Amino acid sequence: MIAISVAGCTNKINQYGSWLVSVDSTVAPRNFDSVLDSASTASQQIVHHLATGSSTVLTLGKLPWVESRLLIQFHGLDSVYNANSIIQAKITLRRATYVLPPPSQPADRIKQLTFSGYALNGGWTATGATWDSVQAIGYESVNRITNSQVTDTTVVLSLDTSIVRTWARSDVDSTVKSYGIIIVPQFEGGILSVYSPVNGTSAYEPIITVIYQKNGAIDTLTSIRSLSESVSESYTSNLPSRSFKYIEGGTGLRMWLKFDLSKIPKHSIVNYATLTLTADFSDTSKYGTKSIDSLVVYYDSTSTSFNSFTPVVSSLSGNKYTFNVTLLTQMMLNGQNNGFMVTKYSELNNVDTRFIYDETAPDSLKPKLNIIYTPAGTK
Amino acid sequence: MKKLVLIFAISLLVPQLIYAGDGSPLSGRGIGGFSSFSGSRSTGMGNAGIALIGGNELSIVNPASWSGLGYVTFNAIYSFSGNWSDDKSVGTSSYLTNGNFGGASLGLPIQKDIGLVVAGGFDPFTSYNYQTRTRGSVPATTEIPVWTLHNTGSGGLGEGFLGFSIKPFKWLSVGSAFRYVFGRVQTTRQITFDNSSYYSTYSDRSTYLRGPSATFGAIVENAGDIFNSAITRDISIGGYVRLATNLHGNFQLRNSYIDHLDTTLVDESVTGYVPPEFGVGITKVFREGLTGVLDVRVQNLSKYYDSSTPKGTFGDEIFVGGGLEFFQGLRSLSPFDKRAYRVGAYYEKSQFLVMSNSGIMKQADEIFLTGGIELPISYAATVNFSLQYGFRGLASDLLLKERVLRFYLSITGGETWFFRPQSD
Repeated sequence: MIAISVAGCTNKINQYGSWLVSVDSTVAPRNFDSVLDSASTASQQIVHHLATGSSTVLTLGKLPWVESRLLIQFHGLDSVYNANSIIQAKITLRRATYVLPPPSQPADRIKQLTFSGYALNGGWTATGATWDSVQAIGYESVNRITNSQVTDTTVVLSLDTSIVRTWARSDVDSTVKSYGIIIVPQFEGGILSVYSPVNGTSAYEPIITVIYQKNGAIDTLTSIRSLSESVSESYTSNLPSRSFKYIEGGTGLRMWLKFDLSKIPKHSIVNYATLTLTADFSDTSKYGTKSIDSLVVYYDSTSTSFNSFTPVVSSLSGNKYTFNVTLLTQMMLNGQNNGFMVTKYSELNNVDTRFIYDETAPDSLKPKLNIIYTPAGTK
Repeated sequence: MKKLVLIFAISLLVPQLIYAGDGSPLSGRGIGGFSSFSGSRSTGMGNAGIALIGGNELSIVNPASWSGLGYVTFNAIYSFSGNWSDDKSVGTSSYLTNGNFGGASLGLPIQKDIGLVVAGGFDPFTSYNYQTRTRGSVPATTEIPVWTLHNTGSGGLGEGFLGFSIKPFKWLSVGSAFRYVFGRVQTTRQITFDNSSYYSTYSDRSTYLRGPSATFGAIVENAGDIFNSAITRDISIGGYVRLATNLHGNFQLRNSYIDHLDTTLVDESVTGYVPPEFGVGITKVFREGLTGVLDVRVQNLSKYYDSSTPKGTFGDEIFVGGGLEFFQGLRSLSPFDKRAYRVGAYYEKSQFLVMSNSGIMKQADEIFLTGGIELPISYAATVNFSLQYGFRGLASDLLLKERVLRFYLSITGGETWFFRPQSD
């Protein structure tokens, strides 16, 4: 009995003894509004060239503001190595649903696209090569695609047979090097999508078909043992240049956005925080499909790579994206404020472009960070 | 004896539990409300008994009274309190209950003929036990989040004491006790929002303080006999002084965050000062078995301060209490025929300052009625029940009115360790 301790309380009241508690500025929750508080805001257009090899869908084509090229390399051509002759070789790519035709053109216009192909000069990986790295590797100037045909379901590329023989030799002789080709759109005729080797369905994978003569007989070889990836580049000078930052898939256009949080005492407790971005859709049909894709914001504690840290997704509502960034801003106040990185949600699957108003836009359109917080407290 | 040692050893393990808060929202200042508890016998007599000698319970306030201890005594107390308080500013009420180990003591009569007694134990010093609710909203935003601030205080300080008493003369008892105050007061501050998608604020403020003190007391037995008057006959006078306590310790502030970076933001040393306390009392034996007590105690608590509590947070405390004790079956040979009945009352101008209608802080006074009964449970063991019921905030214009009920249960056991065997 000597150590019995009990406590109880029966009141579930809303207000009691308020005058006993000094609810001053160090106690009560407060509001930070980056616009109302005129917080210094900075944004920057980031180009983070992407490696899309892990995507099930790859883009290929060209428009005035964006270009996607396809890297592809086939193996499994051993039996062609000592063929007397290669009669025909073609690559068949299966089209996916995404398509971005030229402005004011029907989607069907995409079937007029034609492509060139150039042998790559160096090795690459499907999850590592980017637009930049491919430029560094370089490729030959001889076009290895003799004909290209885009249908509703496929893209068929006829190949110079000499390059196929090289690929076959490299399959059996390690001293012979071949690195596949880069498929380059020949004009600004739109962008289409094709399934990648990682889509999981063999019927949709890229395939090479080789017809060859060997020992007096004609035979046909098919192989789906391919390696492929899109590399894309954005030509932002051809995009509208009002108070925007561009968020674009495929090319890796991102928006870096930083608010000055120095008005909030460090280690304050963030009760709720929202980041609101306003998009401009006046040219929606031209630059992509509206509301098909959400945006993501990231926080990174150490750098501006922003690839894997605590993503927050927002879908479109009206012309606003509103992110719940309670956790992210708390991390900024407790750690380092490296700003937000805004990206497309399905960044690898398409090349749609979003125009997000930046800090130079009018107050009603500029990025807004709203934080309800409780000061950290004192003794 | 083994049982006493065991019980006392167990009590040593739980000193942190020794605080006897009554749940007053006023206790959330400084280190809380200072205890008026003065011993299990006194709880039935208006917390009075400075000049009371005899019986088998140890007085908390005056070590000189230990000289009348008849045999080795162990005393353990459990306290329970309920607080009903009305906040007149918003017309809401609160009800808090709290039950705790209320202290334990062990008295060892070393040489009874000279009143040499050594005693020690633990007793409550302050209580810090309250809850408040405050509503508000965040201005300057399109959506106006409404929040509720929940302030909850818990803990309090207890003290350990070790001292002795002696009777240098037949009519004079003196005693002193070294005291060491220690304990923690903790305030949990939680802010919740009506919109459940908001993350709640959770902040924990914890202050640990400790510091030494000492009490010196004296009782002049039958001091009134010098007047050779029936009125002053059998009157004893006692007094004590408790030295100021200089406290030191540390304060910690911890916040909880949504990113789980729960950080101790502040960890710093703190100090405090508890002013000295003085008290005088008289005891009159009206007839065999009927005794009256009357005490006055003062403590200049307006000079109290600690690192987060400025001077003037409290008011000077004045206590006046008295009561009667009637022993039944005093001459009976059977211990089970013996009973003690106690009644009393006390008035206190408390330490607490309360907001008045005019916005001025006024000192809250309180008045309590007390009663108790002591029953035998073995040859040298008794159980003591005491009730105290009272009101705090008597002035009509105060924004806080409180009704407080306290219940004390104490068990006192005794054995004759140091009695010298009679020679043939």
